[in-house]
Amino acid sequence: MDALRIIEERWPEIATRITRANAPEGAVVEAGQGRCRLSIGGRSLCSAVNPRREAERVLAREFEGGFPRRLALLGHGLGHYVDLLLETEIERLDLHIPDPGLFALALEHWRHSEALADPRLNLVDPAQSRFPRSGEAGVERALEVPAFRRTHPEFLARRRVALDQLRSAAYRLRVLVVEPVYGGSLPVARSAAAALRGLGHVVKTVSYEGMEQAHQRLIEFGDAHRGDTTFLGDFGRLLARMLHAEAAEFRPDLVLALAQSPATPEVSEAMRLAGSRTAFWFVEDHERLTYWKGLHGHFDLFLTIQRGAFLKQLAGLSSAPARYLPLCADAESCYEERDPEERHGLSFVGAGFYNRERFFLELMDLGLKIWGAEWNPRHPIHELVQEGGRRTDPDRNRRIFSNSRINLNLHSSTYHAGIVPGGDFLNPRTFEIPACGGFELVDRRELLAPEFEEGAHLDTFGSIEELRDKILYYRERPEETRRIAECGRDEVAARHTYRHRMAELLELALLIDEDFFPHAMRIEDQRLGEVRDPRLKAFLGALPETVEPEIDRIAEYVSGREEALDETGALMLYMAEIRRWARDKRVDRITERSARG
Amino acid sequence: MDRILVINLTRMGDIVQSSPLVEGLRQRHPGARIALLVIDVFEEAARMIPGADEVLLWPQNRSVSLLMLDRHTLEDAFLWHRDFVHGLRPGEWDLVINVTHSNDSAVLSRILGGGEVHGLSIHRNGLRNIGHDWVKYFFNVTANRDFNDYNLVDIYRRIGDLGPGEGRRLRLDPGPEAVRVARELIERGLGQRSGNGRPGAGSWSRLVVLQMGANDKNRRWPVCYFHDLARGLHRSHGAVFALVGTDAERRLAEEFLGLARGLPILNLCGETGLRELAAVCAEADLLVSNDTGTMHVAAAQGTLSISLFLATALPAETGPYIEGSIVMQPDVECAPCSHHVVCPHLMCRELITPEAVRHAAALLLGGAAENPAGMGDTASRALAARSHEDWPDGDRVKVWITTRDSAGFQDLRPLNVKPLRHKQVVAWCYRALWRRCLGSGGGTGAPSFEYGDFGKELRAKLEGCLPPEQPEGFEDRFLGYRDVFSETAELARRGREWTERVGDELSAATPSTEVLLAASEGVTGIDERIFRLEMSHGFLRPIAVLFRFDKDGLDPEAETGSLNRRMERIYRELEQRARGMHALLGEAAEACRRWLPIEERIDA
Repeated sequence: MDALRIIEERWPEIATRITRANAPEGAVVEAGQGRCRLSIGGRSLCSAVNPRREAERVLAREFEGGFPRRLALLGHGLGHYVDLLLETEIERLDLHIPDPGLFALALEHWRHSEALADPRLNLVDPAQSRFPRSGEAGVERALEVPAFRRTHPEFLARRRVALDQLRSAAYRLRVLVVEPVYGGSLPVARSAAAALRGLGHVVKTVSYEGMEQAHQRLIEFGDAHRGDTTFLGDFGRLLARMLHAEAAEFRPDLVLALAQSPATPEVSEAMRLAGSRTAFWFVEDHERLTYWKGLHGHFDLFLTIQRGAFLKQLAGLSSAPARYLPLCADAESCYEERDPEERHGLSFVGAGFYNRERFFLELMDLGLKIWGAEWNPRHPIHELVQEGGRRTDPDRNRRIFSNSRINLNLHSSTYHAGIVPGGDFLNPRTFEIPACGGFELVDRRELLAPEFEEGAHLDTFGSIEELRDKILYYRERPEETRRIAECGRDEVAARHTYRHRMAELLELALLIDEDFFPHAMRIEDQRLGEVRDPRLKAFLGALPETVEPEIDRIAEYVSGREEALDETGALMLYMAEIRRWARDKRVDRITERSARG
Repeated sequence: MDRILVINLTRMGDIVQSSPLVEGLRQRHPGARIALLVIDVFEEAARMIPGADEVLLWPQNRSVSLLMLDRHTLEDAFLWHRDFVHGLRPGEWDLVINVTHSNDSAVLSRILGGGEVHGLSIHRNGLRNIGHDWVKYFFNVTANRDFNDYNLVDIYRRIGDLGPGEGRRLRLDPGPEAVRVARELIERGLGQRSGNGRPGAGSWSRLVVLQMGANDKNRRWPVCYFHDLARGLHRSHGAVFALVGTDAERRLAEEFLGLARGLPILNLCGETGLRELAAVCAEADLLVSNDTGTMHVAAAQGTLSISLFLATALPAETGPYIEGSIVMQPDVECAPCSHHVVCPHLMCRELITPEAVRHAAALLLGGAAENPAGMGDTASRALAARSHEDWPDGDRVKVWITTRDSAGFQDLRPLNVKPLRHKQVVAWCYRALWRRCLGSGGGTGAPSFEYGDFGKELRAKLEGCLPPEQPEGFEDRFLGYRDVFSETAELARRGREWTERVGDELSAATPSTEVLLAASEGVTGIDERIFRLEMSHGFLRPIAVLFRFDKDGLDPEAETGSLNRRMERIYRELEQRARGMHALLGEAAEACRRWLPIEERIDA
């Protein structure tokens, strides 16, 4: 089979990029001593003598202690690395392609069909997903093909500097998170803010708590007056003004607005003019809700939970960067204790959409219990609805997830009878159920595979028949569901918490432009290796690994210890206090302060 | 005591206010080397203070920019701060006195102090430590302004353990060159002072300096009022005027000049350095000012002032440290504003009328212009002239004259009498308590709990008041207050008993864990009850806050025995203070009862 056809089938987005891309200038594949070699402008991407042997040597050196099960590889040469790795017992190989044009060129000379068809291989577009570090994102090891370092030094250097700074907490950002008045993205906003705070950034939220009733009342009022929506419009502008006032005072490096929040294009532009960067996380189905059309060009970064056609569409509409950032779950606050009072067999938590009513009707004999609002009281399914069909809060949901033997998840639709054909994005529940240690059966989605492994972290269904079979199967096997649920929980904790997402968000921003946050506090740039002063070096070297070499963290560490402060520790504390004072006052030039506080 | 360092990383006014501390230290330790550490922009003020051998500077902008800006690395910042701190000779100081409120100064005190530290510092493990009773008192003032009756200068002096005769006045030496320049400026702008004390052709007899600015605009008396005052003083005393202020305050001067056509005015706003400002004040007969650094600069030259304390300013705390100056405050329930309030309705700025201030000025300038210029004993003259009814707009303003009490502390005596209030009496009791019971915190100077002379003090104070608005049962409320102090003393006694039991147990061969645990629980319960009392009764707070500071300041790494002894002392002090207040309030109730005979109550 033709390489491109395989790629089109398996990775349609990458296929599009490959067909459009040109090979880099000066890139050629030359025949040398009976073998091929790939080079750019005379710099060889692999050995001219025996590239396969070279790959063998590199891999042998890197993996002396045994080959990893899951590996991320950056760069490809002529495919020898991939071929060799697929000969091992590797379970997953993520190949990050730095340059689609170069990859196309390599494909012409790579006996690739087997490799590309191998289900263990996964092609990754680095513009969409960053190259992980070893131990991150579910990969044991991350390896850069050495030749790639030679030919793309600027790509690596640029990325490395920005990302290293981020990872070493070099960026202490001021982030303003904009909440919606209410709705599904409100808990997302709150968790995102908490996670950013946890990452060490200074976070403020614009909250509209208490305004939900006013909003509802204005909807009713408008409806009662011939559907007049101007009241709601005026209300939205008022909310936007509140946001603007907060931003003017807080002077954030980044404004992160959530779907349904009142961050209007005008406010975003005003904040950009004032020196802030703005990002919008559109945690919605772009086909169902289309207000993104008026928004996305006005933000420095537009984040979606869908990729493929949607990202393509966005790219065609404006030059403003749009990136994929899936949902996640709040691992820390999940309810893990089993409650003997609360045991359920088969549960579903969610609002009553058309497809769910139709689909779940066929499970009435299996003892399904449903929690959530907006279920049609005249529909026969309503007899399964618990607690009077009230909306359940996140805490209640977690208890249900934790205490149900099987949790169902069915992505909603207002017009399909059951499973949404070709449904792509993952709803929050997909992550929340395993986060709570619950066993999840979810409808099969296009974007599920990169995040969870079917049968290992959760299980899926593609039809009502399959679902019935799986329910009956798992009902009899509590040990298996428990094992899967535990793996699912570990997977969420390792890759899908809000902390992970927020770190990814900032990294995406820095990949777009390493100066994305030009005003961020960056004193912590100091890498240990660059320290010249021997005493400071010794002091930093003696810090436990968990303490980042950054003034505030060091000060926290030294002041919390039993041991007496030494001079260097005291100086760190001294600097941290001066800085805290200056930050509190929001000054970089001070001429006076009062003796009396 | 060979080497003493005073850390004062605050603003100009506060630096001037610490001059008696420096001078008093010089008197007490004639052979010591005394250094003063200030923010670099206030170098001039520090150099003008007599008594300091050395002025050390913290380049604040440089320090902050190294810590805040992108282009500096951790190492850059660290090396710079290390060099800076080494330049301050850590460990060399026998005594560090830190009168700054900030946490960074606390760490610095710790790094620099080799011996004693009076002031905010930190323990070996980084926890906050307030060393010295009067520093604890100083910190307590911010939270309990209603009950503070001590001037900041006296608090500073006590932090330095100075006695009544040491550091008696503010001092700031402008130097001969500035004096020459100031005289020249005045002569060129206003003509000569007349030789005979009367204004003549091209000469004048009274120079009044006006400081219209204040760092907080809410603390500024309106410019048009300054103008009305000046016009009145020109008419009555032939006074001429110099306007002083910073460059940023030129706008106020322009507004004034726009109104003041025909008045002899020298506008020096933005024209003087600190030395020239001091020299101009020295030439003046009177300063009229908001609560500003200029007010302290003038006091340091021996020049009397009328100062207008608006918004957050509190006369007892920062009034000019000089005898015979007049301090005015709007007579309104909410004055002074809390530090945490931004008032949108500043009616208080207009309650002090130009007429009321002119009346005060006439007292200080010696009545009419015909009188000789000599100021004489203005304080006694002003007191003699005191009359509530006579004070123009007296119902809208509180007026005091600055004096010294028998122990040498600055005091305020009312010039227009006001009805007595309970809070005032409690503040007097606290004043009496602190003076007697606050030692140095280092164990020297045993506190005294003799209150015999308090009755006399109190009777003198009551003379300056009108009977309370509701005299019936006025003194009875003190009985309720006394109950709370009594309860506090009882709790403190029980706390002390626990520590004594722990002490006995610790001296045993094998201390019983049971007793130690019971003591720990017992003490926690007592502290909680004291805290609840503190929260419920504002008048208890001054001693309760000090108790908490003492508890927070316990060195957690100290050996159990010494920790227990320290705890015992803390409870004993709380008990003594609570009993002290109990006794003082008893005296106060008695004095009020005698002062308010029944007939008068009925009349009222």
